[in-house]
Amino acid sequence: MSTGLRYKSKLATPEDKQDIDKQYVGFATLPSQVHRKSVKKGFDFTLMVAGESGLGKSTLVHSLFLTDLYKERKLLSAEERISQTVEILKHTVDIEEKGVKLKLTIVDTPGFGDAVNNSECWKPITDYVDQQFEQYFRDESGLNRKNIQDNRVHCCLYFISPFGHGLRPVDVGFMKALHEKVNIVPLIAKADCLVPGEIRKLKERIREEIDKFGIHVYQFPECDSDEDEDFKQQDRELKESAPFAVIGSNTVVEAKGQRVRGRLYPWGIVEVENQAHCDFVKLRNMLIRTHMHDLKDVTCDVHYENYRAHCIQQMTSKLTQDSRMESPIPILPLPTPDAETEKLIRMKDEELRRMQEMLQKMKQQMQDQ
Amino acid sequence: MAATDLERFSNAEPEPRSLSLGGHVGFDSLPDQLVSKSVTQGFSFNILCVGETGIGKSTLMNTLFNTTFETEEASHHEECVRLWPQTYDLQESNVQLKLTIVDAVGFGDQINKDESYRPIVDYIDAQFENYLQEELKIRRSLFDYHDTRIHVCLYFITPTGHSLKSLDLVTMKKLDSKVNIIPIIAKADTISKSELHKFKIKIMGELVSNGVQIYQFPTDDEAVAEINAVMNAHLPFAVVGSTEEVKVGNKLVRARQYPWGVVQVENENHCDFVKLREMLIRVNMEDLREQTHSRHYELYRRCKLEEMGFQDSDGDSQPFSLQETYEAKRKEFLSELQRKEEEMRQMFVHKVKETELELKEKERELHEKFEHLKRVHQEEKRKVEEKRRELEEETNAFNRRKAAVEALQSQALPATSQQPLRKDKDKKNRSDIGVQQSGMSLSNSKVMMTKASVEPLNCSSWWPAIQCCSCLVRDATWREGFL
Repeated sequence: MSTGLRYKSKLATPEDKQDIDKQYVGFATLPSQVHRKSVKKGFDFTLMVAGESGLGKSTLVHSLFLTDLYKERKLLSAEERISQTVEILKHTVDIEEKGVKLKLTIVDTPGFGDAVNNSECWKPITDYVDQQFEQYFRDESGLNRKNIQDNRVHCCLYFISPFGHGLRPVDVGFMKALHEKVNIVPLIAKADCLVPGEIRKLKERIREEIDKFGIHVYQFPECDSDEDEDFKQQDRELKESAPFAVIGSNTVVEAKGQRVRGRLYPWGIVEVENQAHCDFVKLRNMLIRTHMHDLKDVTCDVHYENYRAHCIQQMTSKLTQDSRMESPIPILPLPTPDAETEKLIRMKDEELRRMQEMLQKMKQQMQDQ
Repeated sequence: MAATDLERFSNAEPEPRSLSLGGHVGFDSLPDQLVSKSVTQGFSFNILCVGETGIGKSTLMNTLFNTTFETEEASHHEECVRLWPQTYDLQESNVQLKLTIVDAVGFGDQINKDESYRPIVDYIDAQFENYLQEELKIRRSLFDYHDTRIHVCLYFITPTGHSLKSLDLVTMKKLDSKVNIIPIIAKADTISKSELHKFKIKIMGELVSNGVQIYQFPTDDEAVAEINAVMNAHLPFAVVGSTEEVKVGNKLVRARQYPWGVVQVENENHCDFVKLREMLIRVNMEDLREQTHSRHYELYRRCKLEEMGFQDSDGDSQPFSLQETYEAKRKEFLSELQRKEEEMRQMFVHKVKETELELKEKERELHEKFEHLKRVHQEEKRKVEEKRRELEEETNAFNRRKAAVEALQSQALPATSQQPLRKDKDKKNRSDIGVQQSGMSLSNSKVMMTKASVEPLNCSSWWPAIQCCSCLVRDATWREGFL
């Protein structure tokens, strides 16, 4: 007890340096080591944007990352869009800030929801996400794992139209198809057409409908109880303002003597970075400044693992049927049968037991006679 | 006679001469008479609103007519598009207006919108059809008729800023020959001025290149030609609707209050609402009604009557009377009906006969089966009777033998008499089983069994004391013996 106290007080007073060097282990520098290594390695992030055309997706991406990704973009006319199919376009940029490199990939989905008949228009998107998972799965199970490219989609920003009363059938269909594969962050696009009261009503409506349809959107992780009040307050505000009502802008306008990113109207100027005007700042903070790594973690730990388990089960069930099939990965035979066969076995066991009981009863009856 | 009279009249009509009046006659009050008559009659106006759910159709109607029409918020999850007409009676000064607002509920919400336009087209056609029916009646009252034909269709375009949506294009193409379309850009407070200009040009360009004929404000009447021409250039109107009032300056105006400013509905700088109101209500309402009647309705009528087989004039230029053609068509139709009735009746009779035959067949089969079963049953019964008799005989024989054996036993040693008893028992057992297997009256076999158990085997001590009859039968071992 007394030695412990002495040890602590020694650390507090850095006078006897030699003594401290003997007792100080030094793993407190781990965070800075990780920091150094990660800066050297660089980060990568894949963001998908989805929603009907004309909702301001490209403008928002521009405002978020302050780079113009869509230099040459061909917008189709209405006639061409009558029977348009969904494409997947990838734009990759390398951006750097204070020595930290980020390889940013934006996956765009032009044509989503644009045709007259939009049945299953989310299929190309789910196929793409599955494809990335499959590729990572193969790479991970391969022999040489030094340079695995992580192309998995870490986050999907889904743009909900502000002109309606809530979620539309195509929104519900898309989110239900993708909520188990990607972190979905729903956004209310073009929020400058809604007065504050309408925004609140719409957010409530959307939250209700998300619960009603059983859609699992990305949940912000709970902050630890030992964080300071400020942080907790911020976290609470963040959770309460989901889904974020955002406005994007490509132009810089002059407002109150300052140059701000905004939209100029005859009746006023909408400032994109003004918290009272829209939730753009919250979105940016969440996406880039605080939760980027968490999004990546959830993708790796939850969505990818689900995919992997599902894939392996399918492969082993196929293998038991057709033993000549070659598998790309080394598979150990599963010690436990999967849930369905277990259920069947249990049912059959019960039936057998019942029949045995009946037989015994009959024997007894005959004996009584 | 009638034909020559007509000819005389038609040939004798020369060019009318124009004369000048010597004084004031007074027929310049004709327009006023017309006006006072129509005012007393009242006007009717029907608007069709087509646009996505939540785009602001009801709010705009409330703003246009400065009143609150009772509507509920529509849901996004309607199965298909349906039309919802509501009629209201409005009065301003001494002019009465019967306003019908038809809402296309659920438009643009479904995932598959291929058939979205159809309910709308069907509704418009139905209104034309009703009017046509009224016109063709023998006793008709057109002046009293509540005209439900759609006079104008306000098509609400979503303010994406890029161009028209594919659904908009498809729907407008289907509607442009049936109704006057006025496209409007809804929720225009989401587009800035420069974007709006580009958007309008893009929309008009797309409409023109796809051959969609929207309503053009008429420029042939000098009184309104100028203003209409100017307004034509501003199409489509970018409108903002609001029923809430906000204090601007020292007045209360209808506006939307944002954190960054106030959008005033009636400010020409902010949106085109005032233009829309002018054009739609104050200037061109009557023209819209006329166009509906003279252009769209006449087109519908012509197509419909041509379908029915009417023509304007025959090959030898003798005009068909509507009446005669109608009569001919009616006769044809009736005879067609009769023929079909006959056909159906015959088919019915034929089917009835067939079913009767089938039923008879089945009945016969059933009878046969019944007979067969009866015979089988009787056979079995007979066999059973025979077996019973045999069994009885055997029992009697057994009894006699038993008596004999007992007699012997009482004289001789007990050891030699086991086998025959058991053998008989076995036989009896087999006959029992035989009876049971024939599946007939179980009671017989039971009688046998009870008989067997009742019969006391007055054997001596070597017969083990066994309680149940079956065990008796089962456990008994038989050996060959004398019979």
